[in-house]
Amino acid sequence: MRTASRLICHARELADQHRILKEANDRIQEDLKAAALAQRQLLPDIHKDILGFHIASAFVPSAVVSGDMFGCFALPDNKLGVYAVDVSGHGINASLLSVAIGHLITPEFLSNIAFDANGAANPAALIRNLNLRFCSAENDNYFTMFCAIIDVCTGNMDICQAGYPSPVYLAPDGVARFIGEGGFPVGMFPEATYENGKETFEVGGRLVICSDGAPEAEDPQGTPFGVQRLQDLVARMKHADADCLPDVIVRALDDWRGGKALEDDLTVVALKRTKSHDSYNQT
Amino acid sequence: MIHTTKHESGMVVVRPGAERLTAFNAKTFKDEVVALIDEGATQLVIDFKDVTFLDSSGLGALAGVLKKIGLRGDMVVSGLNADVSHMFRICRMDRVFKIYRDVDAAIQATSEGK
Repeated sequence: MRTASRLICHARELADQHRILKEANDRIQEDLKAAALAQRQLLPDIHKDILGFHIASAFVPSAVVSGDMFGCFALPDNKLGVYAVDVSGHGINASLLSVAIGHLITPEFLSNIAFDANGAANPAALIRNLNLRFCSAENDNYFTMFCAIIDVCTGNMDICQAGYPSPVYLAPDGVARFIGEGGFPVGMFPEATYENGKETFEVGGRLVICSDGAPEAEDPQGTPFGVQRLQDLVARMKHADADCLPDVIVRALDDWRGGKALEDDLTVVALKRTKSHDSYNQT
Repeated sequence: MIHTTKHESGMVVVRPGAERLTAFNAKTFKDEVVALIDEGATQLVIDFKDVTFLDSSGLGALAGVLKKIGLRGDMVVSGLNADVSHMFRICRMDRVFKIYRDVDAAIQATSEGK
């Protein structure tokens, strides 16, 4: 009788423990969903014209929460600012940092930090600022970043690349090439230095920014899509509709993977300079 | 996960023991190499001969190990394939680490440098 009573008691304890664990797990899953939602709400789904440029984006997360962030803003004095960030690692840690970066980088922040006192674009100054801000001996959090400031009148484009994959520039004549000379990731080395690069964004030219989820996408045999295929893919898009371009890239990568899940987040941001300064002023 | 071989010169050769060094295993890799340093290893060659792919988390793990070893020793890398080499260049790690064709070249150069 006593044994039976003990067994019943034990079963009840087990059931209670199971219920407590399940409640804890449900709470964690709820929190993860809330974190993912907070991040998605910050990620813009861009399909719009800004200052004579058409900008379109696509984002495919690899897990519930991810570490990609990007934005594109009109800035004072006929400038356009675009940035993309990929926080190292996956999960809640990467997501929290990407949300913090998304809140930090506003048009006002870019206007204040990414320009010299004389008004010259200086995206390297922005990345230096972020590097010092996010360098901390206590953790290994860091991220890669690309930032471009475009003068919409002249097409002059100042860029800074901090470990983010080189974007592809597709010239109006259909020649596609990678831009950027590389740079240290942000938040890894406090003493890192960053440089600006100079490019020209021609009327009819396109800039395609892809996170490393693109070249790293693998087919079912494990062959990565790679940078060469990405360059060739963009080169074939000379006549593609500017608004559809990110989705075309996402679909091409879907086909390549043949059903294999994405191992990393995928962000594609595409810009097309649709109007010259003169025609831009007339509209 | 890592495989280590101690060379007679005192260099410790570390092979990551995975074809892909990514967000999924970078922390384990880093923790194991840091444990080696804690056990007294100061001259390391990380050999990427069998590594086909490395992402920014993998590079972050290497940077973390380099910070750990600090001024106590030296760490070089060898055997980078074209993709891994590209990743080093984009993140400027080619300016942080000495890169050698293979382990023999790394050991010879490091021994001559002593």
